[in-house]
Formats: sequence, C-alpha cells, structure tokens
Amino acid sequence: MALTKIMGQNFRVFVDGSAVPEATNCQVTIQGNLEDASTKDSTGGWNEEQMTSKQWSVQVDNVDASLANLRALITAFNSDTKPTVGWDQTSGAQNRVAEEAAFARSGSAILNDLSITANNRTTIQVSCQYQGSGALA
Amino acid sequence: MSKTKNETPAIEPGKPITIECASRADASKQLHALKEQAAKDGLTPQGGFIQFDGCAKFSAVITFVKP
Repeated sequence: MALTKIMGQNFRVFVDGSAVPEATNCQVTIQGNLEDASTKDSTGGWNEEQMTSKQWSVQVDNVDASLANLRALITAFNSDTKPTVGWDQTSGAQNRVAEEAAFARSGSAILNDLSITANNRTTIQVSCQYQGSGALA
Repeated sequence: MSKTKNETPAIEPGKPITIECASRADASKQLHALKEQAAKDGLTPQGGFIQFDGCAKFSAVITFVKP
C-alpha cells in the first residue's frame, strides 16, 4: 500500500485561527534539550542522554509584504501578546481550510524574529519566526 | 465574534465563531457539527483551525461564507 504523503503547499501555519496568507515556505522545529546522563555504570563508551526540556518554533517565509501586514507584524513584535500559532493540513478555498490532520498542533508563541529583505528592483521579502511559549498540543 | 462554550452557536456568514473545548477531540466534534449545519445552509468554511492556549484550553475557530 502506498503511503500518503503531504504536499508542502498543503502544510500551512495558522496564527490566531487563520492561515498565514501568501507565504511560500514554512519550517516547524520541535526540539528536545538533552543532558548527559552517563554514569560510571554506562558501558561501551556510549553517552546516555535524558531530555530536560522541550521547545518549538515556527518560521514562515515570504509572508504578505503589504504595508498593512508589515505594520501589523511590527506592532505584534513590539507588543507583549502571545498569539496562538500552529499548523495543519489545508484544502478548500485559497487552500486555507484546516483539515484537522492528526499531526496538527498549536500553542502560544511569541513573534521573536522578523526579517525584511529589500533588494533593488524586486518586491521586498518578509519572514517571521514564532517561538513557542508553553506546551504544544 | 461569536464565542460559546461547548454548545453549537448560531452561524452568521462572515463572522468568526470560536468554541472553547476541553480537548482537541471535543473541538473536532464541535467543528464537524458546525460544518454539517453550515453545509445544510449552503455555506462554505474558511479556516476551521483548532487552537491550544499553551496551558489547558482548546478552541475551534471557523468562519463560514456564502459561496
């Protein structure tokens, strides 16, 4: 039986319940921070590890570079708010309808990285990163 | 924005609906009930994302529009 694969365009990031419009790429990182748990009982020269904390973040590239959206992003960066950020498989109108896929997750996050690239004679490119704050579920 | 707790709210085209739930599964059930109701009314969904607040609460956010 062929495995069902998810196409990149159908994996979208949602902020406060809405799919981030126009973005081209996104990257989700879920990471465990490890601590060396090796003891004198550890054998064979191999390290033993234990997870001491977890973190997650979401990066979205080439988001809507309109003046209104830029202003909203800078306001969000300067505010103390933590929007709900997550991801899901999408379909439907403008590919923005969440499918409630088994891998969909969300949580509170902080917009902690806003990157604007402005090259001569091209439209500016805006990317942003949300760092998770608290659990992902 | 219409905001309810574990009850199927009235659907108004173009207005986002938020339903607070205790679990992702519960939020999913509520969303499906809303989508069925909206389909009977000839409305199509936008969004439909299940959110987690980072602590304990889940909520489903969806908007329906006239096609």
